[in-house]
Amino acid sequence: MQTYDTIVVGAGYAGLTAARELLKAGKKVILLEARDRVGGRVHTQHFKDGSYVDLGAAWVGPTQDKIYALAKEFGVQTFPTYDEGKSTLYFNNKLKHYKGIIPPLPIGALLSLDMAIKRMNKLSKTIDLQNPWNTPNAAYYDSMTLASWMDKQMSFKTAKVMLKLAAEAIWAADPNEISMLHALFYTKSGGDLDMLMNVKAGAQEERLVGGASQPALRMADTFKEHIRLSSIVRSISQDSNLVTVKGDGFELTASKVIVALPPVLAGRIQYTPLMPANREQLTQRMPMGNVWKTYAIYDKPFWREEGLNGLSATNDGYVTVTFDNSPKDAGKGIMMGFVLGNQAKAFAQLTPQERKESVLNTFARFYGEKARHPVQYLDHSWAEEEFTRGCYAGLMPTGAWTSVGKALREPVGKIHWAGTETSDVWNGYIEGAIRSGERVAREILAD
Amino acid sequence: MDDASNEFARVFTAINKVVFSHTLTSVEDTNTRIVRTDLQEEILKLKQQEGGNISIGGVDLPSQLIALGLVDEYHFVVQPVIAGAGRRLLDETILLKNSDLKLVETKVFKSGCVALRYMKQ
Repeated sequence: MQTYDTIVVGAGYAGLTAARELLKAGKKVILLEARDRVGGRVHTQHFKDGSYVDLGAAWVGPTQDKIYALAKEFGVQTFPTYDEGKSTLYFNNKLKHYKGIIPPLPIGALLSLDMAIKRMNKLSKTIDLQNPWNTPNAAYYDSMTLASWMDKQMSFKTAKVMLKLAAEAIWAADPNEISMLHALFYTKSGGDLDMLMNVKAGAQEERLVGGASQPALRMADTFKEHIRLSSIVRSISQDSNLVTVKGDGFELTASKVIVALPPVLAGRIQYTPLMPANREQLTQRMPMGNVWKTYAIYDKPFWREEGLNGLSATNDGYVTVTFDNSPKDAGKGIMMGFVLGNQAKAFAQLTPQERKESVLNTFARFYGEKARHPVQYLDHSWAEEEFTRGCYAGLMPTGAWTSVGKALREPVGKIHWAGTETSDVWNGYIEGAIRSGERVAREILAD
Repeated sequence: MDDASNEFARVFTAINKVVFSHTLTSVEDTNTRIVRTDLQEEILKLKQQEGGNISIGGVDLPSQLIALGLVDEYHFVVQPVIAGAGRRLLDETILLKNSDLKLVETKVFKSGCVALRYMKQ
């Protein structure tokens, strides 16, 4: 007996959006979430004093129309990321503060960096976003990593170091882990590299008042009777009539299932019958990025008084990029440091005390001795979250897009796929997750 | 630290440079100067100094210098590829009358590139 029209697995922005769209269309829907909260890779942690930090996705920016619409619908305001004053660069044992977005580097390095960014932007325009494997020269760009392309293209080592820092911040992975075709796909998916890197007119332009979880929590509240938290899905089986979803202590049936999980998690569910070979290969070959977010909370954003905007970069140490993540009213000073890619892997080997010391050392190097004495320090590794296993998103290594990429979005019988990894626009972002939820709901309703 | 990964970068780094820029106010290099105004005056000053050739590449700046009559030699390298799109080398070079050139040197490379050196007549 069929219990539901559609079962949605995973209550991140993708699953929430899919469930909501299907409910709007009058379908009988249940949304199953393994955690005891909704939001997935978006998680705002609140403190007793009213302050909060986004442990996962945090920023929104221009052209991310869906998340802006959702925020507006649920009365969540946005505010600009603080970027007044000078940025900071610590490179070759020298500390420099500078205005604008051009770092103080030798002219050869600047030109080399500019040329590489322009060339990537230009190449990305040729990408077929819906079918990246159909891009002209897809096989060529899928056979090299972003790192090998950089090595071939760039004449100045300093420029390579800077582009590597930027790439790590964009993908939470080392450039040697990412297919060049994927890098180009992702670049076009968000607009261009400038859009992905920048604060003003870029993907880091604004934050959400109360944290990036707010729209998800408020949306979930409107159909909470259709959401089951702490429900870990273990297996999905389908026959010609229906799909059965089993977990610890529950068994549900439906005509359709939406799996709104990163591919690596989708691959851990037991399927009967087995997944087709290419879908199985895909979920084996799309690893998650790797990132720690580290936070130091101070009683005020003291760096602002010294004319610094809290944006810093270095290739020395674990934290390579920082942002001012203070609340809108600047009632607290919150400094956020990213530990990305291979640094994240090395960071995971440290003790909590060593991690804290190393982060505060980096903050002190950028912002002075005051940075050594936060009211509170915390850090968070998404690789150690059972129901995420890495962030920001699943990535394509070399050869994956052109061989098994098609299996990313193609339904398997009654099972459909969502999640930011399946989005052609703003792949890897909250925006992409929402868009994937809408797309999968359209797919099901059209059937 | 040697910043160069190849011969081009080594030559580029070693040579004295003048950068005409609307955006930069300073650079890190000791052998590089930023100039924000008066292209003509700056080039004339450089020409009056001792030293070798002044090289310039790109589209915008060379176009302005050609119009000002300040370019004495042209080094073109013909690449064996039809670009099909993008900026055209002399697209922005507008002259009231033709500027005649004299071929002084050619060099053919195994790669299929041909380097041509012309002097203003």
